[in-house]
Amino acid sequence: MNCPRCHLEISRSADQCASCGFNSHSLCQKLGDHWVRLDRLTDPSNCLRLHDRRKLEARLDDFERRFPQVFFAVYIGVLPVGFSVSEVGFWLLNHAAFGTHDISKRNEFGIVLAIDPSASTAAFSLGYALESVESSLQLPTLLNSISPKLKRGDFGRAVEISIRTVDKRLRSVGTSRQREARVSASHAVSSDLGLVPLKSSARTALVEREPSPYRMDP
Amino acid sequence: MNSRRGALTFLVAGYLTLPTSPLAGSEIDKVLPLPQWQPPPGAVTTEALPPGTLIGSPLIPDALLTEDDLQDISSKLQSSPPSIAEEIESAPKQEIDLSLFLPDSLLGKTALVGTETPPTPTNLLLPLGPAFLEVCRKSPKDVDLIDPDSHVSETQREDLVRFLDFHNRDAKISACVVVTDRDQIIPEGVDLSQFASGMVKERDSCLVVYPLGEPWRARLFLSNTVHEKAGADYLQSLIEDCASDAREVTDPLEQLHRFTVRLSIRLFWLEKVTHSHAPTLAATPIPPLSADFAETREAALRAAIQHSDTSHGTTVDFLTFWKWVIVGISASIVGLAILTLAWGYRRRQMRHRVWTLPEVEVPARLGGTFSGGGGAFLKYR
Repeated sequence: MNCPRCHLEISRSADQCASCGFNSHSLCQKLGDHWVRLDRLTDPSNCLRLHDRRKLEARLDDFERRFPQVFFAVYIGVLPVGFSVSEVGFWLLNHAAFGTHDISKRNEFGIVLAIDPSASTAAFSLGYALESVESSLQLPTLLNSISPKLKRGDFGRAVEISIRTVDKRLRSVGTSRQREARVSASHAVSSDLGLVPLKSSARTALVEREPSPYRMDP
Repeated sequence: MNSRRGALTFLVAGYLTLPTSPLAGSEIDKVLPLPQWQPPPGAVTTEALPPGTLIGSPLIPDALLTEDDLQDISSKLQSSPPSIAEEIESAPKQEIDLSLFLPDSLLGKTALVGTETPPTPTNLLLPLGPAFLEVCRKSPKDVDLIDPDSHVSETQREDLVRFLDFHNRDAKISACVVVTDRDQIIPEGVDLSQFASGMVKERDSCLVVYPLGEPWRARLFLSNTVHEKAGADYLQSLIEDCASDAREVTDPLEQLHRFTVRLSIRLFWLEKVTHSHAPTLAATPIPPLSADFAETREAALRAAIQHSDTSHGTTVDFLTFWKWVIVGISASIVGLAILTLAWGYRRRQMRHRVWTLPEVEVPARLGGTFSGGGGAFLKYR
């Protein structure tokens, strides 16, 4: 494992980086420890064309359909000075609720691709559950393969290749089984029993009520 | 605009009052009139003529007409125009015999098989005259039919000339025919090589002296180069064959035609003999067929068929090559179709399959609840 800030190797159970002292607490002091809501494709710098966004949305739908546990999120934005894409990816996986179709996906199975077009940097961040297959994903090789696309500014194509490659490599290490037929929410929920479907807004409200040692109340 | 019109009117009025204006000129004409044309004395003017009078011809002006040119044709003119149907009905009926102008072959008439004229006795044969021989000597080389006495009719002459011209165009041994009367003979001591301006000496050619009506007395003269290569027996058989073919009919002109055709065929055969590698074949007679001819022929045919089978191997290999090409292309198309179907099946199957990853317990790292910094970083520029 490498430190998100100085990229030096750290031990598997270290609470902070021995070289730079980085940890989640030091990052929350700058970015905050509150939860944020984020879409799967977040592009504040408008680097993606509409056609690319639609294509990537379809790709991500297929990815999430094939991997019920895993989700893939993309963040393309100009970061403030002093922050690297690795730090942002680390912070997002620990403090963001991504708008996937299946909200039961846990962030431990999340993959975040963060790109800073201004600093010309890109980073993959993995949840704890995917660290066991990190060697199979070959993320450094994948970043090198999409580097030409990123240099040309073809971010849509670079993200598409990343999704397709991660999809292929996860299929090689995952266990295949027949998809179970899902029962629609309207059949499963009956207002007579007092059950309310778990929607995204309800999930956010529940998350926000969780106590956090890092929240800085005003 | 009004001032301009006024100025223009003033100028025109002023011009007309000038002595040189057209109006002033008419006054001069009254003093000195122009000469008037008067008809010559004796001429007849057309105004006083009654209608229907033929007035000379369209080329002669009326002013030059005299009384002799006038013709009263009113009595000759019919009250109504003539009718063509009446003329046809009143015309005397005549039978036109086209057979006088067309040859018998076009009219579908078969040659008359009449009694054959008896041959002229030898003592009654007359030698060719000096004038005849002179015409034959001076005849140009490109003239294929020499007929000084015009024994051949014009239509037959044209046919024969065309045929001989066609033969001489393609054959290596050209032919020239001299037509004589049935009771004429070549006199002794006549040098036939001088006929047709020495054609026989200059190139491979054949000169035939043909008495019209007696094909068996036709005489054949060949160039030395041809005569040396062909045997005497062969040449004898050639002339006999032509004569016998001509004697199939009795009409002299028809005999000449058949003789010429047969001669052309035999000259082509002779050409193969004289211009081939084995010219001596013509000298040797054709041997009779042996008793075991049929067996030897079958053996030779069998051997030839076996040889052709082996020689056709190259053709078979050529077809085999293209057969394999077609097989390869078909197999490629079939394989492509199978791959496409398999790919489509796999896509359909993938839609109904999911992949799950193992749940692994990982201790927290760097204070992260869900992520401990795993991943990769790249600065691409």
